Amino acid sequence: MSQVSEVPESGRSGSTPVPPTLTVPIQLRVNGQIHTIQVEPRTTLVDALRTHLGMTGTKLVCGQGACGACTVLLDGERVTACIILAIMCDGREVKTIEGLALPDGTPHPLQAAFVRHDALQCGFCTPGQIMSAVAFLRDHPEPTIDEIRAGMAGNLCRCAAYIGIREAVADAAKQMRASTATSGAATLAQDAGEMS
Amino acid sequence: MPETISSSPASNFIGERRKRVEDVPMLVGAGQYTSDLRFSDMAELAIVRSPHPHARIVRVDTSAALKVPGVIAAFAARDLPEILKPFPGAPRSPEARFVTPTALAAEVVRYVGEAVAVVVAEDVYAARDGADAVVVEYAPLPPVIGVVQDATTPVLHAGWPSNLAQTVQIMTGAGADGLDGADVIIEETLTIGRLSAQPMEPRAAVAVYDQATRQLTVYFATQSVNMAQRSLCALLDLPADRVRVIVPNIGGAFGVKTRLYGEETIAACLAMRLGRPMRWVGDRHEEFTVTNQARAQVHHIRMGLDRAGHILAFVDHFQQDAGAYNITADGPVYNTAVSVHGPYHIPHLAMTGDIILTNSTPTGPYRGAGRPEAAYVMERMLDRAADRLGLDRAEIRQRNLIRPDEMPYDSGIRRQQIPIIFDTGDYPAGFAQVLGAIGYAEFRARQAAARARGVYLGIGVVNSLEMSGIGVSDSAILRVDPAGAVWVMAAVSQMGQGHPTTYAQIAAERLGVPFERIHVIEGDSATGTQGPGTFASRATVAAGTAIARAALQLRQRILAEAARQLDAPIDALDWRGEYITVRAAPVRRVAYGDVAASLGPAGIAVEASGDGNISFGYQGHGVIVAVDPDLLTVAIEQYVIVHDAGNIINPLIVDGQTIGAAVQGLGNVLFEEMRYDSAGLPQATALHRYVLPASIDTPEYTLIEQHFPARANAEGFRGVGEGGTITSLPAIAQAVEDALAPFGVRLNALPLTPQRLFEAVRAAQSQRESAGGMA
Repeated sequence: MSQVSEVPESGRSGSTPVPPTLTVPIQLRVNGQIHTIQVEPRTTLVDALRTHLGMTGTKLVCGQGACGACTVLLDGERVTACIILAIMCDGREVKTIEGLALPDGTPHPLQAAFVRHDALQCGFCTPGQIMSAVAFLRDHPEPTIDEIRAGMAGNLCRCAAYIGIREAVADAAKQMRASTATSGAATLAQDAGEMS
Repeated sequence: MPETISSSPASNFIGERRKRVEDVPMLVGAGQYTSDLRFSDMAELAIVRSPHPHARIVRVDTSAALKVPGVIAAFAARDLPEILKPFPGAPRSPEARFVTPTALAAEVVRYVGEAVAVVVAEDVYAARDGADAVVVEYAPLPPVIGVVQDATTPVLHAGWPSNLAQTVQIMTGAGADGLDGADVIIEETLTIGRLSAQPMEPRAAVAVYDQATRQLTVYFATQSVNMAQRSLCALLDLPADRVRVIVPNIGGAFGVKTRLYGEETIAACLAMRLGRPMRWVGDRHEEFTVTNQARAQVHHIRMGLDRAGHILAFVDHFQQDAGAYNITADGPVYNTAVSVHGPYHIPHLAMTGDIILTNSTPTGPYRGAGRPEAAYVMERMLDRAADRLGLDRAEIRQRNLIRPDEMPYDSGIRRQQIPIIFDTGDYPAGFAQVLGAIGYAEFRARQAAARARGVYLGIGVVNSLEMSGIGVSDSAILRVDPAGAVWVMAAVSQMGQGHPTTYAQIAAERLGVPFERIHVIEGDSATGTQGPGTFASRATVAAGTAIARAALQLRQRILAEAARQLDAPIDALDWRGEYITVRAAPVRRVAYGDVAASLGPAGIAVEASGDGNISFGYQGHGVIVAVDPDLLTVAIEQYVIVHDAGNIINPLIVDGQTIGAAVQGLGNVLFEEMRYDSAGLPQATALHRYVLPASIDTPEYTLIEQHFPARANAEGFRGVGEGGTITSLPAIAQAVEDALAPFGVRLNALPLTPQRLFEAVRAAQSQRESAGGMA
């Protein structure tokens, strides 16, 4: 981590001499695929995904962890990728919206439920909403509407499709319970990125 | 009513609750928003912005930026003379003073966030390092904050006698003289605080210049693709055929992406100068300080009534804080002035709106654009009048509502010569539905029982009209290609309203082809279609009716050719799905695509104009809130919306727009405020300092629809994007004030944050104490 201090800090005055930018190699396992990339220590996870890997499904909205739009799963836990440094994810498993559907293209139950319940308008917050809901449903497989209200409170939607989102999450939970019961497949755990 | 033609389509797409076709890419992370676009060799931009609300620029030194690794170039205003023109635009009245900014400020900065220099670099991090390294020396000037100004207030723009840019006046009847006949005159000052729209997607722009063809293409999320293209041509001195604007997916706009900003022009100019694609992606801080803000009105009202509570005259002198440049402030001011009237009888109206400049971010249209302020003012004055006259707050509204037998009702108002005529509706019936669904008759008993338990419930019941359209029509082009695919083109953009679905429903219905064959193309200046864009709840009305008319004309052309080919009269034909058949002999048939192919190598295309006339849809809200007497937080217990969306195209989308607008209104009333301190510094520049409504704040809504087709256009459509916001401002304010009635508070200023409620309760307490208790 000593390299971090050698990188120019943003906000300093104009007269400070600027040292050359340093980069470090890291290994990210994104949606099951290993990527080795060279990043500055200050590079955020969202920028590593969007800029270095060209995976633009994860959106950058506030840059301060305040809106949930950049939510991804890091080792299965939901995090806001705008306030996590990419170097902190070295060697870890990241799951993004691009990796949520099954390999054959079958949408995740949440993705299908979002269409049925008109749970999106402009769609900019949607990847974060869905990734957040994946982790929420893993921990609350039978949520009440009030649990969804609180459990999804960290994901802002300025179009305010919240009612549709709540219904979609509740509906997807039902579908996922039904499919787990009938097939016995642990799709929920897979969806939450626990399969690695 | 729709134009009638022979062999009317058997389909029934208009009115169908149909899932949106455009959802899937956005759900799998494949939506393409401006900041997702990448071109080879693309450079990134970062803007150096003023930290001062008002200052003279003494010196800009970009030399240190050029030493930052990865920085390619840096420019101050003096280095880019080709874009130092004021933004295009024109005042709507000849006596107005009108001032628009340049893309980079050259001599004086007039708000925190105004652009001063730009840095070009290989990546965003280097660009921002470069921007940090630019040295700007400022000589601060005294900032002008707020619309209360006098002769000693510094003047922002040279040659102006004061900061008053324009005064908008609307008068009906005897105007202010109408007060003379009143039994009672209520005077009040009402304030609507400054807001920021905060779409999730920060503004961004990508510009690509093709040296070989000398074509400039600029990608950005604009609501007004044609106006943006024309403005860029004017600013860059380029002919229309060399500039194309393409609108990628838009991550929310709500009005603030209507105007052209400086960054698009800068990116375009630098793409041409440096010969590389340029991308600028704003951050949240820029979304708070640079993108248009809104509301920010103070109203001084005198309302005259008779003893029975009938309104005689409404006289309102209000001030709009326009920010540093009045580039778009007059739109909301006109809207406020013509919308205060609402669904009531107002024999005498005098609205005077002053547009005043201050050292703050410019204000302009944001969801409702002057109409939420208008509804707030009228409805709160009715509350004050009811209280003064000892009338019930619902009763006074019932006594003043325009009746259905008076429709169409000419308000007497003219908005730049366009008459404001309420076309269709039954407002008293709508209001009765509000009262019934919210349980108005039983509420006082419920309220008393709750108060006995220490729970402070309050009720709000209000009316408004959603003015859709601005009186300008659009064109649409429909083409049936030889394969039978239908291409629908219009000059609007969509940012979540579902045009790809609703426009396809309109075209499928009026043309009579399968829904799946229709492709909607919008947000591209190269379509050649005419129209100013998506704002003012106008896209469905203006472009939707153009699509319907073009579809009807196209159907007629194809049927005429099919009749010739099948040797049968048109009215003997059926057109269902892919085939046009002779009704009496169904084996005689021809595919409509084949008919199109026979009409030309590219099929057949028709362009038609829509009906841009303004229509007015009723909206009534009933809300019950619970206010925590200690924390002074507000919870919504129950919410009813009655609204008239005319002929509805897709109820799923209409519900989403109506509720989404209402939740935004809820945030506007209870949480959101862009404050500036006395030094002119914005106090909310991040989401943790500007609270947006979240899932946990969002109640369930009961929606009740009225169906009065608009008379103003051939399809009976109305816009629905803004009514929820417009109406929720007065509804929630009335309810909160009712809940806190035991404290004797009067809530005149929005928003109703816990801090403001605390101040209001304390003020009421000290007033009572100084008056010697609650006698």
